[in-house]
Amino acid sequence: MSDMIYVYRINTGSCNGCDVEILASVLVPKFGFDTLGCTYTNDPTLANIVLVTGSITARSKPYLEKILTQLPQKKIVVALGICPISGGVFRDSYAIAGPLDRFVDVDVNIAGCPPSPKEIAQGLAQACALWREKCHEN
Amino acid sequence: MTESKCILGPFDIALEEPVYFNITPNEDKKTIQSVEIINGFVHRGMESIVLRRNFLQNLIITEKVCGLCSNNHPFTYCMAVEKLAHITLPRRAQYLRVIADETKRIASHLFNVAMLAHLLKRHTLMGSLLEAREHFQDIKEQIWGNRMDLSANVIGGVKYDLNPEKIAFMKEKMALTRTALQAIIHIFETDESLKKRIQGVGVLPHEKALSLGVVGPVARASGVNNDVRFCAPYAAYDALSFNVITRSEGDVYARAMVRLYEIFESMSLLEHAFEALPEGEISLHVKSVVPKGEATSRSEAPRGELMYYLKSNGTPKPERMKWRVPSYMNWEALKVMLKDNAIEDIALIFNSIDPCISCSER
Repeated sequence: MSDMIYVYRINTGSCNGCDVEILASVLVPKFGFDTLGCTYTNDPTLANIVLVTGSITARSKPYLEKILTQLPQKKIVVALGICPISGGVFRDSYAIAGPLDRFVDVDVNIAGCPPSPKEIAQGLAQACALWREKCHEN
Repeated sequence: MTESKCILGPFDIALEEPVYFNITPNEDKKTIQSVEIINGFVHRGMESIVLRRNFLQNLIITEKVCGLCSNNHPFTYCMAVEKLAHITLPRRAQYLRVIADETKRIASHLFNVAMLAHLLKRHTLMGSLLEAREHFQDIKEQIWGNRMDLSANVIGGVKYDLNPEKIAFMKEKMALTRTALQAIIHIFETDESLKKRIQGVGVLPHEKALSLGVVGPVARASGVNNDVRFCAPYAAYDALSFNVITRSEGDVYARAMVRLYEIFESMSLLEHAFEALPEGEISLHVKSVVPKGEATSRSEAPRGELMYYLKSNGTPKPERMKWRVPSYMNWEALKVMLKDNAIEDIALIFNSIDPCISCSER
């Protein structure tokens, strides 16, 4: 089998800034996504790396919790953007259930509002290395 | 009657943001009879948050409403505060606001058309659109220090300035974009299979556009000119000339073409603004004390008319702040656009209104 690493993305209510930059990081060659050896998937059960954007709104909380049960035990969780990391400017709102580490252990934080595609690719590279080191070998 | 639930995403390109569609198909099972759109996932309670922060802090909150129109929100918010506080901006600040705004508009339009190309599986075309957008991302990073949130506006002016070197840099990048865009438009105008695929898809007739009150490129593609920059000029738009692009077909193709040609208009607005940029202060040193009263302001965001309502009771925090965003107006038109179209075209039509869910749900 190939060593391809599958990345699954969840948007829990982001302003789309991070999501647009994720797309730029994947689709614009200069950011080097192709060299990482990973690909995005629509199937949560395949996920090796889980990428979460958004501040985990109350409305998307059950949706996130359901997806978390479908994900494999072994995985690397990446919080992308300040929203899932701390809640950012929204943190004390009634509509926010985050941050992400209330729901799942986070392995990599990619901070920024939004982080640049370069930083996203670097963070993903870090997540891929962690995956290979922690999960894949044994 | 069978009912199916179609979930787009989570990494469907048309769906940077979470939303569900509940589709009832026609008897042929291939076309759409009606659509129910289930949303609310991006509701962050912003209208509540802003009441707990002061007027200055809210400037930062408004920047985070939406990534793609993140300049228009603070821009329009500042206009409302300035109206309440009877502040008249230095002329240079007004020009600089226009420059920041048009830069964001170009990047936003390029991104939307790039997503259209992606949905059409035209990878080369998408690549060249994103490459063209990267020129503007470079401009944003170089001039304002961030690729998305410019943080250009402040109550009483702007917090960035341009000098001849920076203007030369912008012009250089604009020239590259212009060349790329000419080639892209040529493809859109001459590639028959591309035109065939998106012409006549997701049509919004002129009368419906009027009765639904759609705004922005969606309205202009159906022949309705309600460009706020033209109808009710603000900042420095009264001194700058540009053409409003309208078309009559009202389909996915027309909306893409309106956006593409608007990029040229925005670039010529930038050129004019560079030439006419007056000398002077970029900001007034105002205290963030806002007198009691109410104000509304509006601007033309990349997706259409954005409106802010602000009520102050004389304290440092607003009593009420409300905004009406362009995607909210265009949302209802989806029901007209989607009806009797193929189910496989949902993403295409959805993308053509350039939906901003985070704006609508805030």
